[in-house]
Amino acid sequence: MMPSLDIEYLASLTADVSIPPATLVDLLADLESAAYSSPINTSTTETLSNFYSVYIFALFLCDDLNEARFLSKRIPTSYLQSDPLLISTYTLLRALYTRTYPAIYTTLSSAPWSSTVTPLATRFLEHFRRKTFILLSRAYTTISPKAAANYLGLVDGEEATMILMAVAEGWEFDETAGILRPVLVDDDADLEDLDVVVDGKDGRIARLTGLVTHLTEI
Amino acid sequence: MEKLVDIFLNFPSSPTLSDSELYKQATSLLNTLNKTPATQLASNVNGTDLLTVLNPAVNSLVYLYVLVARMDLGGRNALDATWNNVVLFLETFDPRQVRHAHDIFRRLFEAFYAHAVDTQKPLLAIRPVKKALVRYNPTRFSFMHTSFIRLCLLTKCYRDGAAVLDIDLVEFPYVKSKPGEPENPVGGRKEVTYQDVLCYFLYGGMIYMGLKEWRRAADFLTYIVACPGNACSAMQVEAYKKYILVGLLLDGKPLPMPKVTSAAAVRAYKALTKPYEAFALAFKSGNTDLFRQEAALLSDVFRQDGNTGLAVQCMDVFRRMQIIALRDTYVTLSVEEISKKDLEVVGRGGDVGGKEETEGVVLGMIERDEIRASLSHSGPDLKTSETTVHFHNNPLSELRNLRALESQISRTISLTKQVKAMDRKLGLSKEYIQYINRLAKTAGGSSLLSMGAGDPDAMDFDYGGGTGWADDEPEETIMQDFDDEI
Repeated sequence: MMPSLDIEYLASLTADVSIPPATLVDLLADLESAAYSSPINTSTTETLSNFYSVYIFALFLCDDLNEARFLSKRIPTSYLQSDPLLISTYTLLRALYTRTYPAIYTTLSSAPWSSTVTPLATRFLEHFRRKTFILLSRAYTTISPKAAANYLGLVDGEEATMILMAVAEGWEFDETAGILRPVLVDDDADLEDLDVVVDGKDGRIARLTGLVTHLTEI
Repeated sequence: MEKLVDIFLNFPSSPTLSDSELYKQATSLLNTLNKTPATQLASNVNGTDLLTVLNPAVNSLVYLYVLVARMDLGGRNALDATWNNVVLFLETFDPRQVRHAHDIFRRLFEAFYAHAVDTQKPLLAIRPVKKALVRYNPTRFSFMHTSFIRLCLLTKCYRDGAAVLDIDLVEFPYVKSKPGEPENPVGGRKEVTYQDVLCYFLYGGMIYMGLKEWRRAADFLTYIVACPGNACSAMQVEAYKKYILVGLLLDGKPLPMPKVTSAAAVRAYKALTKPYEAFALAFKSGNTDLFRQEAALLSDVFRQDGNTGLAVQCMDVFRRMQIIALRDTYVTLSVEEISKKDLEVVGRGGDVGGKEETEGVVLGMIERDEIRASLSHSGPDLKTSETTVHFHNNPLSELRNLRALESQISRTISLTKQVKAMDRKLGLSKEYIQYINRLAKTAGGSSLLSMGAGDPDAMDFDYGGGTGWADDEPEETIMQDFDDEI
């Protein structure tokens, strides 16, 4: 039977980091009709706002901003604009959608996330920072430390930390020019198929022979 | 009645029956069920509710009959009362059994759908219908497809919609089949109509537009634009308008008219979509002022057609397309110069079009692989630093290309297999053999090679009908497909 919509269940989902984001979204989507049909009053509002917030975060983790935006349109507008947790989530959604980097990090770190949402917020912060870091390595040949800190959400005072971190990842720091030289992080590793890793070249040969057999059949 | 319940619970006799045994048992059960009056099916047996005795996943067929009997007797109120049972049934039924009572299933589904829409709670129907659809047979077009996609648009559940749309359809039901086959409609009612199919592809295209998957959206719209017929339907005209805008978003130029478009449709498109043609022409010219004027002029047209969202995105994409075009002229260019070129058309005000905003746009383009370029800052101080864009010509990473190629190959293989199976099925159909016989009588049997023109209801327009399918596909389409998957 389907799990019921309550805080404990949501908390158990968000605390488990081993659940892949896509599965998380699927599990949450099953609960949406329950959330949709339950009335909004003082006894349900905590569960509902946590549910919607967790759902939106799960979509962020899938990098599915479109659906997150559509979900925000499915939530009753008056509720979306009056609940503090949902307001923060919506602010973050808008910042992500318009790529306003400073706002993304401020909201993530300073908004009043509930204890159910916090694990996901932390998880997303790491995910987003990593993604942005890879993007910067790909997009910039030289970048000023200030701009990089801006993109990565490491504001004033942490600039030195940021330079250290970047150097640890393989970037070079040109001290005379005071500028960072990103080195391409191999994001191809993320693309590598599991099956290619498992059966290596044999898998490719198998696929090639399969193709040739197919071609001879036509 | 107790005897009946025993019969009900004894079907199927085991969960691992072969298809033919199941068919035998189902036929005899259906005989009993069809003879049992609805009042008896809907009533309680010895004070126990039949629905609690039966398991919807195991006794799907009986469960379905009981639900429909209650619905017939009690109308909307009964549907309200059994709502949770219907949801449970739709999410767990055994498709092998339900296929034997296709029309009853359809009645239940349609009542469920209508009730969800009429009570203003379409969202509640999304998950059950999605699960039912995937369970039943997602690669064969059914009465559920169009309804489901319409529901998704109504409720803005685009992710759920795309999950179903992503499953390629390989079969359409057609009316003429052997008597007794489950898909044969009773009373001559077609399972799907021409409008259902057009609606499905139009709505599907709109879902993909919402998700900004322009390639898929364009594919779906192509099916409508090129739909055969002696006249042109209003839906096709609407689809063609969107087709022009989606083409701009995808490629920066309108997509070519599909080769197989009927002459009547081409005439209608030319006459009825003039403003869109003008918009596309202005877009293609690359002249910012001209495009701005045209966009302002046409904003009313777009609003009336409900295409404002697409048009605004076209204006947004105009700047990106112009930046890509700069690649042909320059090797390096400063961001400041790009922003001075004043390519912004949307006119949101604020910092839009400024130096930093332009840098953000280029960064976004690099992220989405729309352009191969790199940025560089000249100094540590943001105020005095110059940002330069270097355009590259080197292709995307090798591994990505390989993967895109491999997925294309596997897609082609599966398509070829389906075409072969379809070809064989059509070749064996009664209509086709009759047609060949007729030809043989008149022309003396030389026409065995001409294939595929036998069954107009099969609607396999995807393959252009018969042997020529490989030639009909313009090379460009293949290439675009390929670009998109990188």
